[in-house]
Amino acid sequence: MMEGRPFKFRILELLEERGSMWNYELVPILQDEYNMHSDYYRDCLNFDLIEVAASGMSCEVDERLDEDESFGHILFKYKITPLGVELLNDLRSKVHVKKGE
Amino acid sequence: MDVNEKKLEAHKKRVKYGYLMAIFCAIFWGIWYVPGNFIWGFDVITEFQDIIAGMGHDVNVGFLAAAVLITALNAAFVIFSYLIWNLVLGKAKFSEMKRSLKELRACTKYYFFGALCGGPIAILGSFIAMGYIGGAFAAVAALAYPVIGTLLARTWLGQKISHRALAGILIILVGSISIYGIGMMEDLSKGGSMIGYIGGIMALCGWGVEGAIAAKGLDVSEPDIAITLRFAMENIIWWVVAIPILLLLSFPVLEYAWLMISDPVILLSLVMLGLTFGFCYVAWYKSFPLIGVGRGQGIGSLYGLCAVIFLILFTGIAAAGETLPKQLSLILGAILCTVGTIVMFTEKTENVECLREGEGTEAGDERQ
Repeated sequence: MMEGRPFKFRILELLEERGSMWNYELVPILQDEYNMHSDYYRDCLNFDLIEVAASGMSCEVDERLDEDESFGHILFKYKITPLGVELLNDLRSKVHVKKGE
Repeated sequence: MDVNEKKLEAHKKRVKYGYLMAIFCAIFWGIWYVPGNFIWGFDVITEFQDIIAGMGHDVNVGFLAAAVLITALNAAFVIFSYLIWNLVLGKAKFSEMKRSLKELRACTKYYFFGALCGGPIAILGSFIAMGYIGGAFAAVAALAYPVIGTLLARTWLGQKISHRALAGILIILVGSISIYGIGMMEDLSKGGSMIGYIGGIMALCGWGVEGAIAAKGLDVSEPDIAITLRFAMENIIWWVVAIPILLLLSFPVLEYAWLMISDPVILLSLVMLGLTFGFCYVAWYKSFPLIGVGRGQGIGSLYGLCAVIFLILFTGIAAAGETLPKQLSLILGAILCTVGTIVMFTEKTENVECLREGEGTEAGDERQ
């Protein structure tokens, strides 16, 4: 439902659908969906994940060292929080209806 | 370095970036007062106010109409600076802007209300306070906005705020108010005015409420997109609602807007207004998702000190310190602002790791 909608809408939905996810798994999905294939956009989308976590909509559940340093020095695994689920459900009731939906 | 140290380092970096953005906001806001001060000195503005006074209106009506004209032009030039900013950030930002704009109920509404609070309510309120009571009173009223922002962030958004951060915000506030304190007493000793007090409350609440609304919107959108949409909304409010109202009153507002744009020196001042205000707001919005509304606004209110410094540096105008007592209160204010900033900067990163009550700690139980 959130495909093609603002990044943070989709991030919350992916986290809810797929359970906890590493940033190196989530970012390439977003890069493909939004056609943002560059290291610069990878960093931008990774920063969106950081903001979503800082705001309490997701939380870090695991971390490990980033061997090739493409996501900084450390990789994070995120999980949606109850507050994030609440926000996502609220968004679902408010998003504009696309043709064919 | 092990994984825990790297994790702590990553969190510290994020918080440092948030504070850096809040400081940039204060610096750009402070610089904004230089062209902001110049613009009122141009003959066209005096002429415009004289014409309105000549139509039989009160002097303050002319002053407020000029304030609307300047603020509307300011908003227009801010949007130009954001177009450049988003071009630099890449074309994907424009696509995201389009996607966000479509989500009126889920996202864009926050920027409309944010623009309403920060634009007509806060800026106009500030000008009303300035016109009916005095500049120092208006400055103090506006500088106290983090009180409202922090309260709303705590109660409405559920953002946690540590005692240390709260102490830092309060020290900065006392420092900022001290800078203009004696001037404010002088303004108030002239008798005050109910309209002026209402203007002060509008300024105090407008920016405070905007911060909380913006933080709500930033939960679902990127700061660069959010701020562009917020100023697009503010432009609609000024150019589609406020300016036509002035035209209905037969004020020559478009004629004077054109006179200002066609004068190269005034145009340069407007470009400077747009760039400084634009980047101050980008930085303000970028700080909220990382350090929270209270901290972002607390550090952001250092603009009071920055404005005094930049006005002295660039124009020689000692806005807050022409006499010895005022100079002493300026020095005291500057010291308090510095102490407050240090108190906040040295806060443990764990307090800022997750901005909402309970959500970050819960993660610990769910680790796999």
